[in-house]
Amino acid sequence: MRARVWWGLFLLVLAGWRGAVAQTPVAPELLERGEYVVYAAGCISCHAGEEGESEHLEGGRAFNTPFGTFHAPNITPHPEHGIGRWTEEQFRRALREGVAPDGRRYFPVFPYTAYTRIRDHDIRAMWAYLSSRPPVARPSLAHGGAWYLQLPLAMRLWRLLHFSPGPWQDDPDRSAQWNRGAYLAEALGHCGECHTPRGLMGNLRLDRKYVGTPDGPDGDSVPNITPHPEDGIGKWDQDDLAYFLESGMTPEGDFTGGIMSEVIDNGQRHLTAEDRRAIASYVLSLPPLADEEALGGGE
Amino acid sequence: MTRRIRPATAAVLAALLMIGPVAGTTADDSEDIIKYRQKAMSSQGAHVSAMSQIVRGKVSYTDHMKAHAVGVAGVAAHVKSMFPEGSDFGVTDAKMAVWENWAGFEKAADESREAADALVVAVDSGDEAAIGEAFKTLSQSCKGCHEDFKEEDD
Ligand code: HEC
Ligand code: HEC
Ligand code: HEC
Repeated sequence: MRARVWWGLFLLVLAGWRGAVAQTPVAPELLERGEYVVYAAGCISCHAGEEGESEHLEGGRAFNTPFGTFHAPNITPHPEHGIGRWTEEQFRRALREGVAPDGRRYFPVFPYTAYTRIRDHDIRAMWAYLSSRPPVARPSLAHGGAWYLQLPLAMRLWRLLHFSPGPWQDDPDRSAQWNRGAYLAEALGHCGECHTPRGLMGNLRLDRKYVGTPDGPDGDSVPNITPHPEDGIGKWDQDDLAYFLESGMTPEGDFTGGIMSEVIDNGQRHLTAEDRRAIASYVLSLPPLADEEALGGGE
Repeated sequence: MTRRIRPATAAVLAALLMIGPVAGTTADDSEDIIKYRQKAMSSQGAHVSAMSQIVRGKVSYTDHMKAHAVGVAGVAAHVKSMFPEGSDFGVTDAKMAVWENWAGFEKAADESREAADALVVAVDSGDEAAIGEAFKTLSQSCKGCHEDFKEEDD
């Protein structure tokens, strides 16, 4: 009898303590930064509900690739259907290493080859923000990846060849603005996931960075955004590119549609003008590359 | 050998004559219509791009805003008629969705026309903040229609 009372007290204390932990207020600045990083990294474009209308990251959107169809999972803090039972460390590993809590290697449709460059403090801020959002009870959908991807060693082998984890390193010889832009474009904005052509294995051909590709996501063509004067955006100045990332307008007054429009609406538009200018300064500093055809058919 | 035209024939002829000019728009060559609307759209683009330089304060030609805004509003009123049925044949970036979802296309065109008219009103008011907002809304309306109805080009 007495033992039971003690147990009861113990549980009460424990419950009170856990409640206190759960309620520890997270610094509002951290949540704010987390939200900003989530926008800068374009998580919303992929993880928002199927219609793309939902403000919650409950997933469902399908991605058709030459390697099969993949679905963005639910990343709201729902304990069963989302990532509510994850620890911050598991979240960090998913982004930095592309590894699930159960050890599975993610398919690189989840652009962790870019996100691995995100710095720890930004991952921490995103985790705080995502954890603060309302949980949504929507089961994640199964993927329909090609059979060879199901082979236990397939993703490991691919990663060995095409994945080098680790946060972005600043180049001390460049300006602070350039470095900020490089981090925003490479680690967060993952411009190269669409604008860099891929090899046979779906790997990014980094020697052709940002040169565009006729078969981008969903089979759409993606333009050359290197500063090449004819094939790329060499005639754009820094303001033109920064304004494009805010409004979707090219210097000719044409308005981008489709997937780039989502990149802008779900991400770039929400950044500070300073950050958009930083991205522009970085992108326009890259080597100008001619389109593939101009090289006589490419590979 | 003069033949009198019977009233019924006259009615048919008259009806044909009345239909004639209306059907005439679609009788234009599809490729010519496409070229025409691309030029008209390009002029919209040139006006909007020029205005963006003024709105962003890169140039101080604020007194030019009216001319650009009126130009855009004028053409915006004609967007629907530049996409007649059958004008999908040729080198065009218009998606089939234009004709498959005509109601949606009309809505996007109407919204853009209203946004352009609102910009003219804002420019007349001279209120800089209102002009900035109205310009943004107009830009969003161009982007909104392209998102659904214009093919991504390279
Ligand atoms: C290009 C689309 C895309 C973008 C952008 C994207 N994701 Fe994902 N994400 C996916 C897909 C697809 C998967 C599933 C991968 C798999 O199961 O192999 C995934 C998986 C995940 C997972 C693992 C969930 C689980 O249940 O195992 C997490 C966590 C995650 N994403 C978080 C993020 C965050 C945070 C961002 C922004 C920094 C982001 N994602 C941006 C497509 C995307
Ligand atoms: C999800 C895929 C995707 C991502 C990520 C992406 N883009 Fe794009 N981008 C596109 C597509 C597709 C187009 C072509 C759109 C069109 O034709 O209307 C495009 C168009 C552009 C253009 C217009 C080029 C021109 O000649 O008209 C620029 C500039 C651009 N992107 C810059 C960027 C930058 C900078 C980033 C990273 C911050 C980025 N994009 C990320 C898919 C993407
Ligand atoms: C109701 C739909 C709609 C609206 C509104 C609209 N556009 Fe377009 N626009 C299109 C379509 C469709 C095309 C592709 C036409 C074609 O290639 O046949 C196009 C093409 C263009 C082009 C490329 C022309 C070329 O040379 O091929 C520009 C530039 C352009 N639009 C600018 C604008 C601007 C600026 C606005 C806003 C003031 C605007 N558009 C509003 C549907 C629209």
